Amino acid sequence: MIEFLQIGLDGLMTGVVYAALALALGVVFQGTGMLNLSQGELAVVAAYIAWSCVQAGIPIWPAIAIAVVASAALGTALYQGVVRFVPPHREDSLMTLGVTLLLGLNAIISIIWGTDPRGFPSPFGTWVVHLAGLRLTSQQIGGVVLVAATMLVMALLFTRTTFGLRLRAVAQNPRSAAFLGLRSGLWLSAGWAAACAVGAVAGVVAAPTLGLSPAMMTVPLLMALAAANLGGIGSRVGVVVGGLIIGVLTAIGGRYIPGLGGDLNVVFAFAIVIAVVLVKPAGLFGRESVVRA
Amino acid sequence: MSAPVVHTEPTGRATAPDIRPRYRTPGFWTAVVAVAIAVAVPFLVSDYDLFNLSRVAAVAIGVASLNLLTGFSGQVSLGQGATFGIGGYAAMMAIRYLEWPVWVALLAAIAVGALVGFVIGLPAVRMGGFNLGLLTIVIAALFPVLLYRFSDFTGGQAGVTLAAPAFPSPTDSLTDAQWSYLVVLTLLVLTIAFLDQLVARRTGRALSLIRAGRILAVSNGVDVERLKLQFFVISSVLAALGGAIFAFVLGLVVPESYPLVFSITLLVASVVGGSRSWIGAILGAAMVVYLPSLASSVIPGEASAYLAQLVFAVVLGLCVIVASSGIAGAGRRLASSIERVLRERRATAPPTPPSTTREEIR
Amino acid sequence: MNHQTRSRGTVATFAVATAAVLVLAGCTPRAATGSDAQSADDSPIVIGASWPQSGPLGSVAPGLAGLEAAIAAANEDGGVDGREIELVTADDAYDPARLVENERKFVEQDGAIAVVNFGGISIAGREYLGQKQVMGVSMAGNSPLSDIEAFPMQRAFWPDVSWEAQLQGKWLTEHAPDAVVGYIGFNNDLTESHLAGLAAQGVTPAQVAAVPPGTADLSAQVSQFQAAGVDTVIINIGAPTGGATLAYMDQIGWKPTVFLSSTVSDFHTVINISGPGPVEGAYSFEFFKDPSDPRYADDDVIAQYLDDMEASGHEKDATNALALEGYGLGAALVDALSRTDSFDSEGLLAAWDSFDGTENPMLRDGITLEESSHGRVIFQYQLSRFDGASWVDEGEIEDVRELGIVE
Repeated sequence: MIEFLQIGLDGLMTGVVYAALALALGVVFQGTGMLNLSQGELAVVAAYIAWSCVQAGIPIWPAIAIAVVASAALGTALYQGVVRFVPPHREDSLMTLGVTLLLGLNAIISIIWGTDPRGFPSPFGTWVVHLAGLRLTSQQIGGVVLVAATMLVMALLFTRTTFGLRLRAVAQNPRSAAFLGLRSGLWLSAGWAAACAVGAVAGVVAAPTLGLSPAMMTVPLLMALAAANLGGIGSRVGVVVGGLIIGVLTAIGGRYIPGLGGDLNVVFAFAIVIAVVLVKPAGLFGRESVVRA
Repeated sequence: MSAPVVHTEPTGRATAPDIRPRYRTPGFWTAVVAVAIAVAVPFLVSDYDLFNLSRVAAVAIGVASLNLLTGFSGQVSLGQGATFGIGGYAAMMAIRYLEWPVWVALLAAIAVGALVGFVIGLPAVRMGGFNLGLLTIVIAALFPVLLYRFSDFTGGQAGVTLAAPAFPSPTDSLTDAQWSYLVVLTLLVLTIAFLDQLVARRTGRALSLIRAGRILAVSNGVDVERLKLQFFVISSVLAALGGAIFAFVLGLVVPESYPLVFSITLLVASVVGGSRSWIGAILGAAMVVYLPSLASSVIPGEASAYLAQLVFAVVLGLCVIVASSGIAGAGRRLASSIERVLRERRATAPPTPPSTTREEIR
Repeated sequence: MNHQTRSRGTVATFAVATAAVLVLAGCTPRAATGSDAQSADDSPIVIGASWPQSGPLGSVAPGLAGLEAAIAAANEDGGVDGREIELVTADDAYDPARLVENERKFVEQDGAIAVVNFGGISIAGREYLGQKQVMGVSMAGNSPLSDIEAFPMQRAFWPDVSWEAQLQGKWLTEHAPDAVVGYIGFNNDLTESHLAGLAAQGVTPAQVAAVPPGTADLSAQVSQFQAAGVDTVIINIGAPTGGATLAYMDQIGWKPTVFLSSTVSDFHTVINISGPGPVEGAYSFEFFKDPSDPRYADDDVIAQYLDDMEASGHEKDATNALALEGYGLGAALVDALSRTDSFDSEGLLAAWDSFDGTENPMLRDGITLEESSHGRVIFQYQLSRFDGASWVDEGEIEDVRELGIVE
């Protein structure tokens, strides 16, 4: 029983990164209709920026803050410089654009920082908590707290501020928003900035566990896609819950379903997601209207 | 090899049926010239280049199969590379373990492709864009893992290899590479002719209705799911065929040939080339096969490999942004404008309404 | 309508023709392939190297840098027999299709007498090289590369991964017969070969975690290992997984006996990621030196290596053990070329198969290149233990041929 709980807990902690990345995916998708496959690579850029700042002698927390701000700026630049030129209804073009961004960012990261994996210091120290036979590391606890705080900020931003209201207005109905005098380009790039900031948090939370390398977010991105499907990409709560569920299912599936092991452990989680979306296409928390046909 | 006429309008507006005989359409003659050049190529270039051109042709079949899905049926698949790979494995294993002749092995690949298309298609046709994206990306991601997992069956990392060329030259006057290229070219032309006919027929028009909107299609009496499933299966069959040919050209199948990136690359090729055009499939395939090597051979120096990747990404990105209907679409538009300029210069006719509407897809 | 149709047809046909001309311009005309060029006495000896410089295995690129440095140094010293060695390189991005494409170019257009690869997918080129009778050398230790009966032109530089696994198994049966073993490796044939090697010595791991490359969060697997009572962990997995896992085990205070496979025990692969503390006390059967290990700070051979890396503009990669191994591979090729009777594939292959106590800059002191069997040239290992700063020798050098692991 303890082993079951411990493995579930480990999975839950792993799922935190998926949740944060899925939230970033969701914000971009709602705004620009783009399934942004470069979201993982954007998170890697953030992690490398934080790492470079630490190397330059900046303490870890200011370094993370710099990385988050820089990512937001990068998101704005990408929207204004690249994404806005592709019409929002061209799903396939947008997805392809995401792939080219992924390749391009991967190349730039490799040129600037090299491909040699590096260690990334945990901003939360190296202590361990034992509770009722279960174990949590500082990195796991800190990761949860940081991601939860990010979600809270995003929730407040979207529901409690005029900024968020306008952002949602533009995302949901660009034409009416334009009648109200909202410049959709500006607001959509703000959406990209917010998404990339959340992605940056995912990057710095993942880096101490995964080690810093250009391909570090490849697996988490796939899991985040599954999370967004499961929870419903239109729901901010949904994607987060989806990420956590995927993390737990993967860990449990790998341990307890015979024959899955460490490489097919994702099968269990994916199978459940696909079963769910066949019954409820918009995901657990999604409303049908937000699904883009 | 044809730059086909755009057959239908997504809105279902009544278009007069094209009553001209096929040989009088410009696309037909362009195709004839293109095929003539392609047939002359093996007598001009080296075997090494023929090997690469054969790779392009095989990948082009895969891209064309994706065009059928993405461009004509409105389903975006990120997993076509896995079906492509399954076709390759089916054909190679049929030859290696069952000792079937090459042509029978191709049929085996087609049969397996149909089966795979049916199994994946059943849930796939019920799914919208985003969910379908996940389903297909999952299949693409798991395929190489499964190949490793069942290594007793698939050969694991060593894969399955051919001991002799799949298409040995029957005559002394042609090398194996020349013959193989001609065979692959023939298969590509046949595939495209088949696809061109398929979307030109009534089912193709029904598909356009689906793409334009599900409700519109249903109100016109189209059984949407059944038709989508049909196209999913046909697409899988052709992907498997392309994969089998690709495996024959390479002489082997190994898991590393079919990573998730490969599936995504096929989609990129489809969109960049032009997902509503068959010549676009060839152009897209040529880009993803040639551009990486080309970029890394022209860029010297230490970090050249990643600079090459950056150039590849930038070129593809520019294509997506500048030519939203792909290179083929842009080329067609360019041709129309040139033609308009020519016409205006001749000034034989009074001002005509812009003729581009028919070319602008979506 | 007719007018329009005709002019559009003309334009399209013209476009197709132009495209065809452009494509043909980039091709080589038939019968212009230059494989006869090598017969002249002073013409360079051509070796092709297709290596992952980008893609999923882009991090092994320093191996190619080392190879280039070794060849450049040999040319600086006057080449072989007065002839320059020309190393033609190409990126394959770890894509088998591009690897085969590169090999065809090397053989058909550059006139290469040998083709060098990193490994793994180099299996893809064996058939072709066999048909063309061109020697292929891979760096890596995959067991399938030992199949020289089916592929007589293919050789490998690193020892077969299963031999080291047998040494580990033998050590365990002698020193810890009751050990409960957990194994962490990739989900590919490296793991199969490794497990086969352990089994040959009667060791069957109680737990096996075989994960895809790039997986780094093994916390659930570690919990599973602990629950199963594992007290010995064998790690044969590349960066970042090994380092990340050791760091996690250290943090939660779990200290089993650790064996690291030699090729994943160097500073760049594991110690720089986990930090030195978590690796302290780990064992490894080693055969190559690690330029990052402080124990080689005063080593003359390593100093020469560092100079050559700098001279060829690769100083950035010099601390990476893979670069030293690529350098060692280059030195072995140069040594074989210096002993060959004829500068062709056959001559080089014969010379490669007849090393005899040959020293090599990458090998640990006392280990030498030997006459080939199973397509391999290295048979000796030095058991080492990480003391928190450096790998320290334990006991004598062991030779798998003397132990009966290789007959």
